[in-house]
Amino acid sequence: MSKQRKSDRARLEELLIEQAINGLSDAQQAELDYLDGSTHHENPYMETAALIQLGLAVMDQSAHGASAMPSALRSRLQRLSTGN
Amino acid sequence: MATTLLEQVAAGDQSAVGKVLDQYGDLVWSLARRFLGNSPEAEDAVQDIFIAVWSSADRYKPELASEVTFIATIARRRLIDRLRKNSRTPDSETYDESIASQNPDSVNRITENVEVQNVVRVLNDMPAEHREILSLSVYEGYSHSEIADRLDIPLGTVKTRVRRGLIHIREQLRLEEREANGGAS
Repeated sequence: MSKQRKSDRARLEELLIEQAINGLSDAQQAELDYLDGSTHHENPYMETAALIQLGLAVMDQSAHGASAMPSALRSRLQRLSTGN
Repeated sequence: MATTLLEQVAAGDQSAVGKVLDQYGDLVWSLARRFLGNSPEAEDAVQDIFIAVWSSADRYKPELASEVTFIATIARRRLIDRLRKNSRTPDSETYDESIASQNPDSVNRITENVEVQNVVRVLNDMPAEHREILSLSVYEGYSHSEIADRLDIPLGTVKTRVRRGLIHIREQLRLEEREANGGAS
């Protein structure tokens, strides 16, 4: 693998990680699109970050108790879900 | 044949749309409330997330990820987008939602999910100070510089620990998955 391709690959990975943690600026997003050769990225780090977020939520709730969605929000979403 | 709720939504089963809300509503609310630190913002985010979940149901592939992971990934993308547009408001207001009134079946189904159990195990095995930084970033939505200020550590240390934590957990989860599949790559 050439030095350039290796550094492009490292930068691509760096951007995917950044996207999963903090999101990207427009300039970073354009760079990601260019390096990946696509605007539709499968980002495996996003799923990992989501799982970490989920795991920390489960740990938090088992330590401090769970909170339920406010009833007004639930009703609003139920109306949306039935199209009424 | 048993299908997941999202497959039922994708097949046009109207009753499944509400069931997704019953099953995952409290979870998505908890994620949004904690990540954005602000109830009105979290309420709008949860609405956006469920609309996205319902409209993306046809992209869900149960052989690739569990339903809860698929929904949490959609939630994460939306929460990050929202946080980038509106900076985080500290958790100053009183929580007004009822405590410990979540649907116990829903909670059990999430905590018994193998992917969730695996990630909890990996998180518990991490040094507490590394887990704390990851939690402030990934779970609570603080920026790297906010975390550095809050913990009084260099910004570079925060960036490195968050990045390494994410990579480490991804590697551990892949390893567990390979072992669960009998060592096949």
